[in-house]
Amino acid sequence: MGMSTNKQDKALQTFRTNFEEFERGLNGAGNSAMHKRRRAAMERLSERGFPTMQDEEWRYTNLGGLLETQFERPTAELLPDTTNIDPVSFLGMEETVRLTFIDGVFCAELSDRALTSDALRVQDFASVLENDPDLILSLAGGIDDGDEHPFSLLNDAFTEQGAVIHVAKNATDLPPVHLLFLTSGGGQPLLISPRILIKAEANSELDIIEQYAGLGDGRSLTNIVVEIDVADNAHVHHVKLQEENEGAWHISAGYARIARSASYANHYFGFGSRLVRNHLHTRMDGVGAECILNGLFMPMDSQHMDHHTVIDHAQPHCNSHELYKGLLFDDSRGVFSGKIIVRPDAQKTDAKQANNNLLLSGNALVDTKPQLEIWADDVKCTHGATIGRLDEDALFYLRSRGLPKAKANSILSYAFASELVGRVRLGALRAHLDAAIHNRLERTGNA
Amino acid sequence: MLEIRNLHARVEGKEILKGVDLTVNAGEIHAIMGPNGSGKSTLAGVLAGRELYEVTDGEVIYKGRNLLDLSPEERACEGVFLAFQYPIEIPGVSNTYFLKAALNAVRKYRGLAELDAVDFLALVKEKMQLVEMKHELLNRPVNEGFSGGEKKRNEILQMAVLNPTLGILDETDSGLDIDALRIVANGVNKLRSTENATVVVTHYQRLLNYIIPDFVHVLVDGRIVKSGDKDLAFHLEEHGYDWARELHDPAEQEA
Repeated sequence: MGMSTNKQDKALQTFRTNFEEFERGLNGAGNSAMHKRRRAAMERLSERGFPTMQDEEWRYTNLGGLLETQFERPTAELLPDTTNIDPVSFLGMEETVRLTFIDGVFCAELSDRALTSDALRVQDFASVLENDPDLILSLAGGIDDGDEHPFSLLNDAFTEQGAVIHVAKNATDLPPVHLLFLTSGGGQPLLISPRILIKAEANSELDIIEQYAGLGDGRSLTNIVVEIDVADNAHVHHVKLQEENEGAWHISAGYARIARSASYANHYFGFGSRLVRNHLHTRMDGVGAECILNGLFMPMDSQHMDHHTVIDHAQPHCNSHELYKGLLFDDSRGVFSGKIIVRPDAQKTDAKQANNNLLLSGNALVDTKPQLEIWADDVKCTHGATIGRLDEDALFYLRSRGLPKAKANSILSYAFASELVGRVRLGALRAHLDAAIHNRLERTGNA
Repeated sequence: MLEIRNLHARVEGKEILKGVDLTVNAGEIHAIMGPNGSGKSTLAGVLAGRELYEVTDGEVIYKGRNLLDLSPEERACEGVFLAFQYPIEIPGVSNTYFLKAALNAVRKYRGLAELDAVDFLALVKEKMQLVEMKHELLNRPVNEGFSGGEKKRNEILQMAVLNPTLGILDETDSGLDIDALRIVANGVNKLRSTENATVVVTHYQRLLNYIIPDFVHVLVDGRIVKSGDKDLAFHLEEHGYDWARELHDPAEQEA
């Protein structure tokens, strides 16, 4: 109550004003089914309100600065000049199907869909919304947890851009899909609300890379929702790279439904943004499904990186493996909250969760919170969380062989982080990640 | 090369070294023997620069410089090498990467050009023959999953690659079977030259059948109580350390 509630209410009012403006610009589309959804989301968000630190799910993350910022929806005239942008340079991978977005707006001239086919359709959300809105309505909104994550409602209310990816039945050996989101961050702070919808039909296999990078150092809020539907015996390998500039807030919600004998792997790598809140919710809805969640976050300066995951075992004989690692520098802060739900039917569940954190500065802080909710009796669930510093014996060993202290720090930090790089299956991506980790170690004086 | 004068050191407030004096010249092999808890490993750790040990008195002059003023990495670059009693496992760092980074750090300090991957590999292959080490261990994480013998061979391999002037072997024989002991000792002997010196810290005489020392010193309760030639080691083997304890403090023995 009091001051903090005011902040939440004021922010809500600002977004409502924005929303009304958005509606006025829609003309005839204001009565579409899609827009009815948006309006319903805005209503629910108004009832729910933005979270305060009294909300259990938000107790480690102060949204004050975000809520006090007046964001605007990006419009065409705010977009930067794209002539000097080489979209390949952000990842260094040539053979991909790439969609590029600038401030959340699809940019056709920086996109490359040459490798798309009937087996793999990659479309931008806005054109699908124009030509086949039913497809979007059928793929969106599969899991609803607006109470826990009100920013999903905010995305629902404002979304008009993004990507729709459809993998046909039995389609495998496809080129990786690269979704590149660039934030220009100049001028007025922008509200960027993309939606990514992915459907992998039965027996198919997809590699997808979701990358966020900054072009400038201005302020923006990227508030994204990703929905993934993995059908029977399909396999989706999803890598998310968070490399936005330190003026950006990054809030995301990912929802994956994993069907019988299917698997979903999410590899997250966090380097950028002033504040990150990732919410990732997976549900194993078929017998024998598998879910792998790996995450590495390396905040420096006063960056704040918050990761909430929920793994829902709804069916028997499903496996989940989760490993999140934090390597924290300077005055940064990290959060890991990992919930595993094992429902009464989910016998023979095998769930493993680990969260390991290394603090490389006396001022860095991390909160870790494993939560198990187990309603079945014949299950194997393990979890462990550690918070520590670099091993003194190992540091001395390296230094006793002539390696300077900073280099010894760097070698041990890299070794800690690289375990997660090794789990990514695309070689070119591993090279990019290695470079990003080394870059972070250099910037923090560990090289 | 090395002159230790009246060295006192403590660990967590407990005094372990109580006035050690020792002079080591180039070309010599010295053995430091003593019962458990006499301060052998502390002495080795102090020389390598382990921060756990606090030097409270005395000095260590190495090649004319005050060794205690140098960081562990500076000591290594100046040619001090400690073969660990318990080599550290470092998951996620390959043995090759570690060795190459260490060698190039040392070479850079010594004003030598850094070795590229090809030259480095050629050097390592040559040195690996010294300790009869399996090639596959190069690509494994440092010491992780190595047997006791493999770890000790890896220590001697590092020593061979870094080419120190003062090698300190801390209980290198512990946990070794007789074949591994022979191989490790053989490696040390082949590295011996008139330019470098070796200090062998050990509890048992058996390593000294393979590495023949020029001098043997008996360390008891933080002090060297007796020095002699290699025959002193045989005497200790036969009679144990009790007589040496009496040399140090007969009153304590009677109590």
